[in-house]
Amino acid sequence: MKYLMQVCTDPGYEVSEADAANIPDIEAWVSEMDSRGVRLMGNRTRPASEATTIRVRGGEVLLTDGPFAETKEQMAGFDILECRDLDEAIEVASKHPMAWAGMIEIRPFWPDDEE
Amino acid sequence: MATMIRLTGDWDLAEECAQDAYTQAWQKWDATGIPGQPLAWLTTTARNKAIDRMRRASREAQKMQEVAQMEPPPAPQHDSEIPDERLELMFTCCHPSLNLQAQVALTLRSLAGMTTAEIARAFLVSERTMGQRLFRAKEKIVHAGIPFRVPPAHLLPERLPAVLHVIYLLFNEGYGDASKRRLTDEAIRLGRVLVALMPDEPEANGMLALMLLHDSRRTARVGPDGDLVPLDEQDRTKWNQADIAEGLALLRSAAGPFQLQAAIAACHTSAVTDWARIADLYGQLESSFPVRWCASTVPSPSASRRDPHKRCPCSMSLTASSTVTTCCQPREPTCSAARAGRRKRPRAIGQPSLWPQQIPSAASSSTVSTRCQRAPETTSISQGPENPCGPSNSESAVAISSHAASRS
Repeated sequence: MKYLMQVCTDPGYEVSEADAANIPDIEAWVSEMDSRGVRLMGNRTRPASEATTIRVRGGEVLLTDGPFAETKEQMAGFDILECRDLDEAIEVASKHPMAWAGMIEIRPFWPDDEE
Repeated sequence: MATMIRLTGDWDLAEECAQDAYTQAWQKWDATGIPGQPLAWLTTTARNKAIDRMRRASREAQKMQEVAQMEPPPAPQHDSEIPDERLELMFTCCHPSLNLQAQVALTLRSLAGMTTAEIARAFLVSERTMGQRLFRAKEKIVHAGIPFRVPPAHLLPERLPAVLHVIYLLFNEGYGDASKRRLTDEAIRLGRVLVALMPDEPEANGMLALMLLHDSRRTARVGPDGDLVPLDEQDRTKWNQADIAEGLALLRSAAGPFQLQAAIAACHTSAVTDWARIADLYGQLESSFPVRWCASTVPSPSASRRDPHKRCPCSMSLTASSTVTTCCQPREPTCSAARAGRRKRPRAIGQPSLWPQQIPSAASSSTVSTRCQRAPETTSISQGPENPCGPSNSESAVAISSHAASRS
């Protein structure tokens, strides 16, 4: 199953000392997940201040400077996973350093053959 | 039902086909007699109905190719060939990515066979609401890829507490409320199934022991006028000795939260209550699975009788910490506060009020955290009356809301 993994910041949270000592390394995470074949692609994204939101209303293209969601928590990156099931996706996400320092949302893709 | 879910991966289809099979059995067996392998008969019938329905659906969707490739596994000929998949079903229903209400509702629907209307009545919501809750949960299981399996050994410390939690929550919901008695019975039944399937898990044993030991004093706990009867005034001949014996036999030396609480409950069922041991066990519970107690941390009937403002253990507050959930000890009127409370609030007997089970352990903290970060939801499955333990009533409500807040 394919999942979109959104890597998010959690501005109000401070990593505890104990967690900070054990926080996984991102390079190690990428190489492990790539070699397992569960990470199809992914990247960091530039900060929300550099986002542009696009709407077409009445045929007119409307642009907004910034993200569509006015929240403190913002997406900092994403990965696309191919996992056996939700448990594997949870395992992969929980090994990502941002699960420790921020948070991660995983959402299944909507399969092509379903309405 | 569990077998059908594994076979079809479609919860609604599994339910319908299982129902069809039972209907057919009811119509046929009357005339033909019960077949030699009734389980195999039911499973094969349900399976055939599922295949029929899937073929029909596929034809409608013009997916004949898929049908042509559909090769169902051979139908079982003997009951013994049918794997017991209730454990898989339990772990799927109680997957921590589902919210707690959905876990409870699914467990009742799938494992206890209760109808949506019955579950809705038990939790004081409309049938429509409960139906939607079940629908959303089943959709998520299918579409988010929640696996139908018993988690591997390394995940068990995280996942088993969720199953225990749901079953014990059911027990609490039905405890002491005659109209919800079925929930308690179902919880004990599911506890027995779990222990039969995982006999080496001390906490599964502990949870069943805890339920049995509490339930053994059910009839002695309430007087004819519906008032709570304190432990020292209970008619001990009314205690169910078979339940007590079964409960005691499930105690293990392992000191998980359920085993410790079962050991405390066991002390309450002995001829002479050993308060020193109870205090010691509470001490272990507190040090191993810390919760912040409101006032007196150790229950002492003599102390609490002297000071009606000291609280009995069931009135502890919940901390804001997301890893702490709490109180499960019997709503037993061992303190004078409870006696005062019972006069004011006789209806409150046995109503679960606080989060009924603690699942803290280093290993399970991730499960708990997962739960705690979900959208806010009620702490008790339904919003029943408050804890019967007297003056703690108002605090209980505060505790619930603060805990709910901590989970939001």
